[in-house]
Amino acid sequence: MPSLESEIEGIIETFTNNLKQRKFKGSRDLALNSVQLWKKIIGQMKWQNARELMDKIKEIGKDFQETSPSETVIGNMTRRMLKIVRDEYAMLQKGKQEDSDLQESLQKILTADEVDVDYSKNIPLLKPAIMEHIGEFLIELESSEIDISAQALEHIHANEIIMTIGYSKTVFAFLKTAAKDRAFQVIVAECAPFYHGHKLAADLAEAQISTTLIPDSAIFAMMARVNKVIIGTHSVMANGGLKAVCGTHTLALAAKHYSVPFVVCAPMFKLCPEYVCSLDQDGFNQFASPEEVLSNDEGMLVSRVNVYNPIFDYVPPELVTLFISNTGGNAPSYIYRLLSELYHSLDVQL
Amino acid sequence: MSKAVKSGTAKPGSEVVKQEDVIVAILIADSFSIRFAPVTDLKPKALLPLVNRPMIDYALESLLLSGVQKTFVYCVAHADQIRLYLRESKWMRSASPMSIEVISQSSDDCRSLGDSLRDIDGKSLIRGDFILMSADVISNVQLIPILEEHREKRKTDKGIVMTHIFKKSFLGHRSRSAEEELVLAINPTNGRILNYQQSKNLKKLSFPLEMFKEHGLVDLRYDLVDTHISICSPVVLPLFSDNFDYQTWGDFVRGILINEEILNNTIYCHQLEGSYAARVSNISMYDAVSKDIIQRWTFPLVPDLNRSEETPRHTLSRHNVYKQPGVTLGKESVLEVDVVVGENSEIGEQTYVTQSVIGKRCKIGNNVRISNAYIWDDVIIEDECCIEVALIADGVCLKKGVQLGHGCVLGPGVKLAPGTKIPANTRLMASPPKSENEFEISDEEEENLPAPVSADSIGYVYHRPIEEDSDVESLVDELWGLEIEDDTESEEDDEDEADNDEDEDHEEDLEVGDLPEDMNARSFYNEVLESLQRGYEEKIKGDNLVLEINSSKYAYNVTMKEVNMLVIKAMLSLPSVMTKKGGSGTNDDWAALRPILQHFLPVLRNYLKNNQSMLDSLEALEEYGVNNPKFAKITCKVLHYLYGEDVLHEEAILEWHANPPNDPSAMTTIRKIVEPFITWLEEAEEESSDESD
Repeated sequence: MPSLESEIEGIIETFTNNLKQRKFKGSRDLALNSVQLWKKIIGQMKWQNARELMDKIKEIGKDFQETSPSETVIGNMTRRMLKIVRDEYAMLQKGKQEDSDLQESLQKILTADEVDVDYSKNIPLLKPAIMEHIGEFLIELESSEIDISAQALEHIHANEIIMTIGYSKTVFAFLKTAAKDRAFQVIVAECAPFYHGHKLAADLAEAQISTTLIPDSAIFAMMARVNKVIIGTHSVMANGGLKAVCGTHTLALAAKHYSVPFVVCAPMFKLCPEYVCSLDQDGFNQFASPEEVLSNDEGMLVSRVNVYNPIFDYVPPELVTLFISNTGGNAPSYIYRLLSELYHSLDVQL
Repeated sequence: MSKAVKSGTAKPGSEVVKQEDVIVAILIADSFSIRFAPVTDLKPKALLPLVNRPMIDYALESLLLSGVQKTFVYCVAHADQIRLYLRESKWMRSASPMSIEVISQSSDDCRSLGDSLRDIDGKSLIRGDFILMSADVISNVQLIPILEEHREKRKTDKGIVMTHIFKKSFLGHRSRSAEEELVLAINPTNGRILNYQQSKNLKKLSFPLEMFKEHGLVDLRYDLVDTHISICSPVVLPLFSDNFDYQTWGDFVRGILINEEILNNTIYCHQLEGSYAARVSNISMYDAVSKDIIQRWTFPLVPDLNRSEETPRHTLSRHNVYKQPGVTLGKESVLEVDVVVGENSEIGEQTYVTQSVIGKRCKIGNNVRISNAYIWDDVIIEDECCIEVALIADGVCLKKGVQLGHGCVLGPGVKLAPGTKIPANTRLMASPPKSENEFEISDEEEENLPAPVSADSIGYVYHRPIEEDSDVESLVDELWGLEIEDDTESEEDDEDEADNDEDEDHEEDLEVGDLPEDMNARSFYNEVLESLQRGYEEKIKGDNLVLEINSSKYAYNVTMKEVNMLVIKAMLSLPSVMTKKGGSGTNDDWAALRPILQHFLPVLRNYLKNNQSMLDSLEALEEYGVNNPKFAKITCKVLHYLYGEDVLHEEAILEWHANPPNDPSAMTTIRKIVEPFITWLEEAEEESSDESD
């Protein structure tokens, strides 16, 4: 038994270490890896009933979240695991799915008595059911990018001018799919000081899409001729606001000024049940080394100025026109509904 | 590909391939200095908190993030504490991807970096390339690519022993340690280090001409800072073992460069691009590095991203204010900018804190002003204290209204009575200093060292032991407070530590007196004199003496010219040293000297091989004559003898005579005395040339 425990511990340690070393490329990679990790943990761990399992998931999940507080995806995946356990338990318990979610009314939400559900019953079939469900979820994750880009033709029309910022794998796939059938132009804001936009511009040009790279300061000037803004995001907050790469807010405001549709490609796993004004506000943004802004070599200057290099911007929901997720297009005001489908209300606070 | 590696020697080649799997690092958890005293009296430097986290954690974390798989932690002072700390920490857990092995050694056996590497070599733990780093280095460098670069270079240069990592910092940068100013000569095409000099205090530097002849391009760099991280080939350890005089990294580099032609070993430099590395070598560096951590240059090694079981994460708020959970802030208290407050600390009303670190469980009263201070755990600071630029160790208690001057360091457990004012740059410790001088009896001690600060306080002024480091050195630390105020140059007054390495620069000064000014040359001279005396008394063979002198040469790092001059001087002074009296000024002197010279002829022949060395020796002879007028009388005889024995060639003597002497007074004394010999020589030459005609 201790060997089993230490084996799990080893898996967890490797994961947190990879997390620290930033080995995961993009949030989909991170989501996939963490779900695979959960699959291993749930498969190997000893547990008697759903309650015990959920407690353990919460405990480990909290630890992950602490390791990398700004990666909301990790928390989201933990919540998804808890939801899966709850769903499977309820189904096996009642013999039918707890499908109340979709029909839930405000009345029902308010009067709901969640405490009543007793998860301590030992159901032998629970484990295989959970594993199967996780497997399905993994497939959903893997195909999320394709599912999103499949909708590309509905949004991009011939001879349109699209603006985007930074580098998002989802957006790249989206544009590339659209380019198969339609000719359009892309303007990429370079996204200083990280300059991920350079990479996107190079990749798009390689995919035979006519691309223009502009500095961030030219966003407003260029906006007048843009038909649509399509961006990716780091995560979607509970109110439909965005936690996206620094510079996105500028872009969103410029788009609002010219009433240009502001479309966000966000797979479901990026939906986060937390609000921006939640308690641990400081975990929201992340500040990287100022090195990219001002080189550390710069002699006396370094000791005399304070340099900040934030990674994220918060974009309020009213600036967002549409979310394109792997299940279809949604308005920001509908996010709360999606969230209640994805996560259980008791798991929001880990 | 691997052929290039293997062709050196078959065995190490195969080991390199094997070692490719495991990346090994050696972490030296001791700095072999007392810069942090008295704080380090009870606690090893590696465990001192740096922004509320033990220093060694940063080093281990950066190794882990680099992907190092095995780390040897080598500890000397307070080794048991480090061992205990690591055992309890997350680093030693079985699931950790980096395994750690602690090696400890008593401080009697290990007094320097060189000693520790020799010890590691003796244990034969390392077979492949390894990373050598000091535990007080804070860095976010990715080391693996540099390690690969090192291996790549070995394919073209089999003699590569080390790739040392430097960071570019322009003058006036806060993380430029005044003690470690250096000048490097680098071949810019491949990054090979051609010359290395510690440039502190030097107004001028000299470089060997061959360096410029040999390499088409040479970069002279003054903007580099030593990060104390190096990638070493396995051969580094035996090199240290073979050369007992290598104490520091500087010794090693100089040794390698000097012996370059013989051993064909080379050292390369790697210049960091866009990452951070600095070493906490003294208190002003502690200050600089703390600020860099708070301002996030060391990302991801920043307080809001590190956490362990015992220490929760800091949360970051605007203006780089970090707080751990449980911090209580009083009404109208201000944490202005760059402030870190540890777990469960309390800050009183209307207290103002800026650019400071406050540890765990501290209690800070009302109306306190704290700026640029580093306050460790469990410190109590009562109302109306004023602290600017200070380091306050664990468990210190400052009563109401204490005022600390700039740059004070309070050791653990110091307690100061209400209203005490401490002058700037004072170091206090909680127990009276133990006097080691035997003549100081207890009552005198009482008289000398009462609780000096004020009544009812526990705090004694700490004085740096003078015999170990020169007292001038402490100025570096004392500059601490001032540097923050203005960064203008005040670095001139800091002197070197143990070994001062002015090289060629001091040659000119040598002529001033009989004995060299330079400390190194002086000790070299004494050593040579001793060896010669013993050599003569015990009739040791010339070759062995040459070996002995050569090893002293490396130990004191003197130039060839100095060796030539000093060996001659030592021989000439031998009769007076042995008889303990000055020369009589008669022919007896020559009678005493002649057998000595005769005995040392092989030694002389070894050193005086070319024209330049003969000129050096003649110069030395002249200087010795000027300084010892009694000896001057026999100069002619010495010259004649050495000429007769074919130690000095005719051309050299004539050339020497043709050039004006360095000391004008020599014109009237030595030159006059040797006049007959020179005329005789010239005549002989004419005769011989006549004959040939």
